[in-house]
Amino acid sequence: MQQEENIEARDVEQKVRKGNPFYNSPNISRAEFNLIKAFFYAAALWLLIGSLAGELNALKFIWPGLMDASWLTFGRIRPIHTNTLFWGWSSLAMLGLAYYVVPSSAKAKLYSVKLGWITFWLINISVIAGSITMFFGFNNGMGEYREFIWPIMGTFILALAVSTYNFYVTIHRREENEMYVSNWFIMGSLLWSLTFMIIGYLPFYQNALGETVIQGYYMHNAVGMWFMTFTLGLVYYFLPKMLNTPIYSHSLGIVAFWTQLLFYTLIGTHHFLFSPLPWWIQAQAIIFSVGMMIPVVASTTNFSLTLRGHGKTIRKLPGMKFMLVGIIFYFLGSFQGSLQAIQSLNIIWHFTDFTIAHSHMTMYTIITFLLWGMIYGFGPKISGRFADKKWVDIHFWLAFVGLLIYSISLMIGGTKRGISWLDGQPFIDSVILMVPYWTWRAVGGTMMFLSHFVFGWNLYQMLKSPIKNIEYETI
Amino acid sequence: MRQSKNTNHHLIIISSTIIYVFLSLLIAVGPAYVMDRGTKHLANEQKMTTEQRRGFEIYVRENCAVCHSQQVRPLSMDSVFGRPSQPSDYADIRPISTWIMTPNVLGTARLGPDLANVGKLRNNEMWNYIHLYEPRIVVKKSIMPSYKWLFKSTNEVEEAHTIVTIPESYKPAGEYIIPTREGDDLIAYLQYLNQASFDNIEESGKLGVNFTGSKLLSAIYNTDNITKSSQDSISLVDHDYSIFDYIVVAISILVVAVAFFFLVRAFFGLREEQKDHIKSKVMKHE
Repeated sequence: MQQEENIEARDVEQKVRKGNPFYNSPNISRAEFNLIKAFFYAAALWLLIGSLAGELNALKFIWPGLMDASWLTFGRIRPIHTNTLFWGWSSLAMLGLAYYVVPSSAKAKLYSVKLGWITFWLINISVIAGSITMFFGFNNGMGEYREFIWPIMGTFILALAVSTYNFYVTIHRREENEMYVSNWFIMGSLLWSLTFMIIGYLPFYQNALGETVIQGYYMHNAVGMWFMTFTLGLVYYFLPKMLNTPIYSHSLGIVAFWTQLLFYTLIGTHHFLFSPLPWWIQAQAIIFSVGMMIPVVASTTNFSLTLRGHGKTIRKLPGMKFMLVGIIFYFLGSFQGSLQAIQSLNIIWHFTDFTIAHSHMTMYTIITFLLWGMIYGFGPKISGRFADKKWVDIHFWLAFVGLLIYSISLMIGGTKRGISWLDGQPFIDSVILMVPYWTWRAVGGTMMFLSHFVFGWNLYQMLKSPIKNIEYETI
Repeated sequence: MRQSKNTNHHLIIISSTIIYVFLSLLIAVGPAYVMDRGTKHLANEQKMTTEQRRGFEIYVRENCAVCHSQQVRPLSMDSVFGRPSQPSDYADIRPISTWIMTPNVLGTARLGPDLANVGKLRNNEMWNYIHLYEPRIVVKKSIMPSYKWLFKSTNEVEEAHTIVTIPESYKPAGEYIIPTREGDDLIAYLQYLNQASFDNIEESGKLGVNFTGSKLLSAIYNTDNITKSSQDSISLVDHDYSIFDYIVVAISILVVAVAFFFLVRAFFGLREEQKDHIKSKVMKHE
């Protein structure tokens, strides 16, 4: 019985592979394979560490006395959770994929594998150092995603600069005349991110409320310019490749690129509505938050039209389910974000757990799901091994159902909490009413956490060693 | 087939980055600079003492802002926490050291209550010590962590020590709980969080941001028009709109409309692309 299933699974794999020239050969050298593998393995490790910290945080809401040593206190573990998943997991996974996408979509050789390794080590060093310093309470002033002190974030910025240079030279030496839209997004994301990170850490204008202006700008651009823009670039490459079809419209992709640049840059202050910041910064942030739906609609339409008629591949090819959910939630999560920026809804939801639900619906269901989908789609190309579809499905359903439980419970709880504040009830009542929702959040969060082990196992199955007759390019 | 313009990578990458830098200067660095230089203490506001500043460092180290905001909005639901926050309330917020930059005290979450005025709302020092040592002694359903490492237990008590009145079941038998210097400092900082009154506003000075640095920047950014909530009456957005505000709103709406136009145009182009696609398929078939 078991064997039959295996044979069937292999047949599916072979069909997918035969029908899709993307899986014919790895198109990279063995050295590049090793580099990309290292990026993915390290990313998966940070995913486990970061979500372990998240799991501990979730449990502390139910048992506030749990593990109450100074270095495990909520205020210190929470930034470890966010920063390891931002700069460790997501960034490494994105760059690992980009080390294939940039040369491949430019039809050029990667300029330097060595510089890739330098990026790899610098990022890992910065995330390790950042996590250790935060255990000791060395926190760069509580601003979200800016918790690494500047020498550590400086190391991360240097890592990005090295990769930017590497990619730029690669694109410069390409044979293809056109520059595919993926590389627009990826290069834009890298250079813009270098800009906002440096602006975020320069001290010359950050006393008093100056800091708050920069904090809004920084935290929104971290999500919008680094993670979202970069991931979009990758999806514009992998989605058509995995489906073996051209992207529906290149011009829609370019509209998305320029409007992404315009709107995401300007809307940081929607994190500080009704604050003592000048009213006009808040007003334009709200208006552009609505405008932010333009790049979202442009990309999601493009992806949906590309997906149309490929129901079979979505069902059969491991990882396509992740892509589908990621694309749907790119629309839903962004729309939710725009709604949260509207004043009348912001009054109810701001400061509540609704925000936490939103950040997980975006950073998790958009960015992480898309990254998983692309890793599952890309791994077999470079190693010749598909992950076991059964285990990919287990990963998918654990993560997806867990996420739904997590975010829906916090959305309901957050809304009730906001209404309780509006009613003028005592603050502690709003804490008590949250307890069941925090419990459900921990249930969903645990499912997500468990799914990451399944992902680690699947990743290992895919990349442990390439199949025998695979032909890597020689340098 | 239309000649593609997407071939010059220098142009695309560098022009988009220049636009990005320009937008960042316009929307982040510029206003930040103005807020930085223009935020000043009012005459009747207290400055942080050395002890309070050390306490503020502990506040940052334990990352209190992850759960506690210090930002009272001009909304009636926030009135329990104090009067609406004004820029001058934050005039003391400066970098901690060479390594730690200006902390973000405003925060984005209220897992616990707002602390902007906590020195006035919770002015019982002993309550604060007990609450910090083990919040659930005084607030049964609290989910705040206990900060026991800001205290030590001892047998010998000197006159100068504050003995925290902790119930027997919460501490080692027969021992006394006294705060460490860090604990004292943190409480001193929390007591410092005390919103200055704006009753005698004419004497205290001008509210809002008083930026006098550069004529150019003053011309670009409207600085003296901040949410007016000096009185006790708080409406939803008690604000005097200026011409400047209207201009910013008008430009923003215009930009969104133009972007929307490009999106619609791309959608119409889509139909053409689709027709070409089908045509080429049919021709191939024939």
